[in-house]
Amino acid sequence: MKKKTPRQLPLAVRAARLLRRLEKVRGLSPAEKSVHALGLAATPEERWQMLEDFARSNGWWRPSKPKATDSC
Amino acid sequence: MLIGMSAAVAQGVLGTTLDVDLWIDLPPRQYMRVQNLARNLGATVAANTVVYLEDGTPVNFIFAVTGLGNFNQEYKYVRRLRFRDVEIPVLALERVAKSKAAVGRDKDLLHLKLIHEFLQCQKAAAEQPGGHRRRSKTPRRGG
Repeated sequence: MKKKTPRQLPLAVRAARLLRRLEKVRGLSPAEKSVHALGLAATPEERWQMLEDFARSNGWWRPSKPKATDSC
Repeated sequence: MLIGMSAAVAQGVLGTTLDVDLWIDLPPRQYMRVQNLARNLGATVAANTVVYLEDGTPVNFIFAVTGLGNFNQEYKYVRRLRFRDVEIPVLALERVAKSKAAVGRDKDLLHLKLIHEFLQCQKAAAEQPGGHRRRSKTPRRGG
């Protein structure tokens, strides 16, 4: 049986809503606030995925074994 | 428990880190126990306290943290986060910040700045539940 997962708004929508709540924060530029809003709005899983995507896109983390499904 | 910048990322600070720091509640001389466990999970052992998981993720095993108390003292500051269907203990941001302030390398100071900014934003967001600022009960008239 398929497990039901609660519906969640897309991360960008959640982040945009959160950013509005940071209007009054002093000393940070809108760009800086937008990054923190993204971090606040994301779930731990989404936060980790962002870090991992970034690390892998820079080639910092590479799998030690190629995936079995890889083909040339 | 998860500590360091990985713990900060899991709690919402969007900084970068190259490794995952796990604080192990064992005396350092027992590092082999952790190493064997990692090896059984398919990790490659790179040093006494460093392994690479099969997907390439570098993991550091830490047995004492600069600037903080012992494991049991710090465990009360743990936050439990749900991650990949498992609840993981994560050191609270304030304690991560304390440790980074004690270590004080350049990268720690940068991380510290990010953590403080994040906490500032978190506080501001919490002060406005629901995301809508309520002004007054009387509607504003246009014009």
